Amino acid sequence: MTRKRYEMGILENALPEYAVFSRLDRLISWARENSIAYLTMDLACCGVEMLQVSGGRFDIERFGSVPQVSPRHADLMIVAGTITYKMAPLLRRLYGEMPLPKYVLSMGSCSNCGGLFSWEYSYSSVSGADKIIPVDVFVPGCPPRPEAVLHGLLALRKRIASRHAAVREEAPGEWGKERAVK
Amino acid sequence: MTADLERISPFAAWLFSFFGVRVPAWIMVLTAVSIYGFFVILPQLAALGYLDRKLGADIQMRIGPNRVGPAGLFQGIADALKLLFKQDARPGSAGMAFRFAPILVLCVLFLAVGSIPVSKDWALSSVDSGLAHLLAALLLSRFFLFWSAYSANNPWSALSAFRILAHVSFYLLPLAVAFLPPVLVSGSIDMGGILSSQGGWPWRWTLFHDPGALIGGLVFFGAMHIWQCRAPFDFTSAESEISGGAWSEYSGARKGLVSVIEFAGLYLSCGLFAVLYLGGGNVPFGLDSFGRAASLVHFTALTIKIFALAAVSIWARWSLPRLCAGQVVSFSWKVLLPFGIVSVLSTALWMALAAGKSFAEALGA
Ligand code: SF4
Repeated sequence: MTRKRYEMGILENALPEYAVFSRLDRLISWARENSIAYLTMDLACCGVEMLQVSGGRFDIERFGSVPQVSPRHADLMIVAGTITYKMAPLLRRLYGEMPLPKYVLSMGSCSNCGGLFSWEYSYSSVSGADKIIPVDVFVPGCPPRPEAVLHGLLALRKRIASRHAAVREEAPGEWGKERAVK
Repeated sequence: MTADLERISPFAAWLFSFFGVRVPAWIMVLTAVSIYGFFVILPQLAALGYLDRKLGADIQMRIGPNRVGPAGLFQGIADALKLLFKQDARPGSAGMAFRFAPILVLCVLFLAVGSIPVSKDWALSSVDSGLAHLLAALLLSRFFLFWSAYSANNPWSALSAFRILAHVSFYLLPLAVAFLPPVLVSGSIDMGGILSSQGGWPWRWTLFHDPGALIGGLVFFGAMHIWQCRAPFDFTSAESEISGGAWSEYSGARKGLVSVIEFAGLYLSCGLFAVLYLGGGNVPFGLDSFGRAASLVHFTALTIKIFALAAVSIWARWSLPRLCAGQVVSFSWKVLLPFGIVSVLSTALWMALAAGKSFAEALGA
């Protein structure tokens, strides 16, 4: 079966590409930024801190964000922790399984740039999530405080609001191909 | 013609009794179904979803959604819109049924939801075979659920599909047995008949008719919860073991359908319990003496009962850990089924000995 790569929603395929609805744009981005379901990629110690974000004290659900276990249900992937070479292909694959539009939040030094386990010190881990998938927001720290992750989420909301939701975007999946590790 | 329509769909007859126009019956039924679905059922499902999130957050000492609208009231709208504008991914190896099986589940659930009568006038469909029709719809919805899970062609969905099949044997017997006490008490298998045999005061409800019916009611509520597949009985879609199970491949608008299906199940189990055992929309003090507008009073009463029951269900969902399949089956076969059989036998005995009087009537006499 042949499928269009940029198939994003019901409306987009029904309309010509030049049709831009500014009000509709606003409405769709409003919905998107207020309901960010995230895939929990807890790969190392940062993962514990990420789980804390959805707990009682920091409660990310105030912003309408809920954790999901299936990539098909997620809008955002929070990469929290060290990406080992063994895990990297799975990370790519899970990213590919998320339906468009999708976002990535890289949490902690390990997934920002390799951190403690960057290529200078470690033989077994990828130096940063942006080597294999496109990252929207980087949250620094080792590990970042949950407040920092919430700040990252707010930054992502701004980023979503600044995009044109009702027009087709380039599929971000292609981006990673050129920068694949090794 | 009108008499026939009143027998098939009392709600359609009620709706068109306000206008003197003569239209074909199928238009009347179609209008009634859409109005009932969009203005009566759907808002209630959305409210149940909101209640679930807020109450669940409260149980976990969180705040829950509060950024969209006052106290996060419009969170559901944002979620629905977002899902509508998301890519509708379909695995290349998925079967044909992947696209339409969730819609079939929803249709069958709507059959069951539509047969819950709010009052004499407000019943979307009135089926003579009442409870048998209902039990068939409940079973068929699980079959389509199996179909949608199996067609996703994914190991977790397949595991979940087989769990859903096994699950039928868990709830079916207790559920079928617990349907019987209201039938014995009211002498009718039709939902409308069961509803009209009860009164507004608690001692005129089936639940407090006799000790057997009381046990039957509790068994019914338990069995409906096992049917519903929500925590603590959600081993068919356990996210920690089989990552979402039946629904793990669904995205976009179909993921939205999944939430509707989930809350339709919650609505169904609470609504059925309210109508069969808790007097449905009947109100005391003759509050419903407003002629044709009385249905609004009945509707309010039924809605209050449904939401009170749903609060209990949500409370259980968020505070109990998930049971594994073995624990569910032993709860169902060793607790619910024996108590269900005892309740049917003792209700039958009571009806024979007390000549059909309720407990309160027997005390008063
Ligand atoms: S950034 Fe620090 S806390 Fe986070 S995974 Fe790496 S080592 Fe652990």
